[in-house]
Amino acid sequence: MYYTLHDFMLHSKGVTYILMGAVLVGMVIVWTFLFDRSDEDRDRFNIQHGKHED
Amino acid sequence: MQRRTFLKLIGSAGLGAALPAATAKAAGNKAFTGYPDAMGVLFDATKCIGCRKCEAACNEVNELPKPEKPFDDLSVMNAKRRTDAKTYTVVNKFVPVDGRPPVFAKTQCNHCQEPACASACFVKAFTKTPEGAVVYDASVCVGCRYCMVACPFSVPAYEYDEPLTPRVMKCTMCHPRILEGKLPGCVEICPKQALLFGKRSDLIKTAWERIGNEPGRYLPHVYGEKEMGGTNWLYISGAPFQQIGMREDLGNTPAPELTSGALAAVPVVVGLWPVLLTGIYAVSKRKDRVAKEEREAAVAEAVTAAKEKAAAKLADELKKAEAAGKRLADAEARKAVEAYKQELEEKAKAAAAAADESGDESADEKKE
Amino acid sequence: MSHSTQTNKGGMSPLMVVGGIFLLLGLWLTFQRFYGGLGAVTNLDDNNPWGIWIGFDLLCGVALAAGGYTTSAACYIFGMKRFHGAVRPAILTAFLGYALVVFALHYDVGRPWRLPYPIFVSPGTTSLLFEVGLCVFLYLTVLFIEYSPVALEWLGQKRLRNAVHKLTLVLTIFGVVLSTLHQSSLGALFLIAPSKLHPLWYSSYLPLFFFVSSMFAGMSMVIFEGTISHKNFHDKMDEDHLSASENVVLGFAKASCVVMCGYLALKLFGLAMDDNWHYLGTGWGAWFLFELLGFVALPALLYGIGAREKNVKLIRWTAALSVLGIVLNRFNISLVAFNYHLPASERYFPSWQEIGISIFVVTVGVFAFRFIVTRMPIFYEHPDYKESHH
Repeated sequence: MYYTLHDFMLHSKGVTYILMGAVLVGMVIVWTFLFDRSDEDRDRFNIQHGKHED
Repeated sequence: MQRRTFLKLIGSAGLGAALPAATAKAAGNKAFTGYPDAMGVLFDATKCIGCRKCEAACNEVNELPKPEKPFDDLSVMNAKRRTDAKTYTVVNKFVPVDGRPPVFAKTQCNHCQEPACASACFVKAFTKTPEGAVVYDASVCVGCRYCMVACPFSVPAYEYDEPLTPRVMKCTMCHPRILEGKLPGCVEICPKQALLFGKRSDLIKTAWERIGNEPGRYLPHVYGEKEMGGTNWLYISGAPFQQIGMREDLGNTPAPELTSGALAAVPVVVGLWPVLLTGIYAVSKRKDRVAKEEREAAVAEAVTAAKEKAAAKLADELKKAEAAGKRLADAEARKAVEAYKQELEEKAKAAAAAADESGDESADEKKE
Repeated sequence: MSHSTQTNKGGMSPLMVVGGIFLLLGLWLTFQRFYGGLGAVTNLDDNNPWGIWIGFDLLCGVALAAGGYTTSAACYIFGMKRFHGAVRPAILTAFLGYALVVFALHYDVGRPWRLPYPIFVSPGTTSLLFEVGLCVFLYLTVLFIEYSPVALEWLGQKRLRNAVHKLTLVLTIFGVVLSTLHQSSLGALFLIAPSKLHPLWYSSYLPLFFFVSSMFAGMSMVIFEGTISHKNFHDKMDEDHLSASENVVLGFAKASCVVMCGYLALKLFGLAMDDNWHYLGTGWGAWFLFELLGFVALPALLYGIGAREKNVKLIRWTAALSVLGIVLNRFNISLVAFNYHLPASERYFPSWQEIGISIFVVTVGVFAFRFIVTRMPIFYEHPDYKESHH
């Protein structure tokens, strides 16, 4: 129970800041997951579809 | 209000058009009315006689250093003073109408319902207590002085001459004394009951009752009821507040709402920027790859074209050579054939009498 | 230090002597500051808690160090590879800029050893200053990592250098996110004091103004810094850097012109939104227009002409004008238009000691910059790592 907007914000912004940190770390993980194999994958895709790229 | 906060939000992120106005409210649709039992003080400017006894009591109760001039020296009131590191409260003298008696106004921390100092403090050094006082904790203070920038009433002061342990100094509403069940020092000593201590909600009622009972004596304005979201120190006066050193242009927006828009934009940037930037990166990288592929394709095409041209040239040469060779070969072959024919004819003539068929066959074979 | 690092011939020596004097003066003032407290060396008081150590060292320092994120974003995110040779000097300037901002804050805050408190001890998340502090702390870390390949190449740490090099894109994106946040939050610091800042400068757009102006501040500073570096370290520069710096001058002039136009438009909208037109007729209005027309509109025009006509000299002078404009704007918001309502006797003017410390901080920066560029691969590529950029 919060009686002042200030106390409420102290709480809600605190949680938000922690989540922001988590999201930034999460984005790096997603990014690596999404892109670290993309070059090989494109080659494989292109070979399957009769294109090739060097 | 909605427009203001919304503007703040777009102002802080530049992304406003995509966001609904409601998110600008830091607390959604929640309303905060402050601690229900918070105490406060009502100052009645029509009763204050400028005796400076409250200043003396404050100095004593808070164990502040003695001032140069004693508290019974009223001449200090000829110049306007403000609170400082050694003074939590000051009483200033004003003469709103020439020839009329002066009006006195007491200044100290107003103990906002939503304190700007607390909102601005990046180490939570200020706390709004359930008892109504805004108190300061020096043990975490870094000394950035943003609280002093933020305070609309210009109350907090700083120990500028302290090299190692400077503190922000301001009235505490005598919070420790309130916890003990005592009155704040200034209220206790006031000989004219210009200061009244009580529950804030009750004080507002009392203030309006006084105004209602004596409309000629007071202006219909309880300063602090709404200013900056409301303060726990309230004022009523017969002279306009602007004329007794109190700003009437502060507005009624509680301090945290002034910054909630900008703060709300922070997670938006964190959430959206990486997505947008990755997108831009992908586009530029793709553009690069397409450009590279096009370049390679162009090179390959040029190579093929050159190869084809060379091949065509070669083929042409070959054809010419072949043709020439053929011509040569034909001529030689014709000669040989002619010579052979002659030979054969001679042979045939010689063997005319013998077998006709076999001679023809062998000649055919040799020709091939 | 002064003569042993001398690489170019003549001209610099007297400057080094002056720099040495500034350093000695700074050390003396440092002693005074921490022996006698802020009151002993500053003109700060209870009404004016922030002086030029905030107005110049923090606000201008951070704005002018924005070249780090603009240049690296242009090169690595927007794919403008022709800027590649200019990224390292920009990152170095930004890293030193932020490091000096933090260094200067140690003078301004009362108990500097508590500077980590907001992040590690008692986070006051409702404060814009918390946001600034957190982002500056994180961004300084990011800049340090972005800069570290230079030092690692110098030290011959090949494996570590290559590992860090792989992080370039992620670091660049983090850099842009953090810069967006704290550049705008520096403007948002003043949102809480609408009654103290003159309405012409107070606006709900303040964070946006600070962010947008930081872009052309950073780009102008890159051009400006490049001009000075060319004069002093030309012999250190390789082909890649020289061609990149030419590209950067023209490219950033064009970009700054566009961003400045956008900034002017936003300022105009800000006036309209708060209906502040009537203030333009006052003395404050004249000052406001002087800042806006003389130090934003004029540079925008000059940048435009310079970019069109490929007039590198004009662009370089314009960059200096723009940098001055940023300083003027930050001073106006934090010092000139702040507390505009107070009588002249209660207004702030910096003491010579405050100015001395600010000069000292800048001098430390110049010396550090010089130390690094004369030793490490900033203006040229380390021979072992050529062709390794993507």
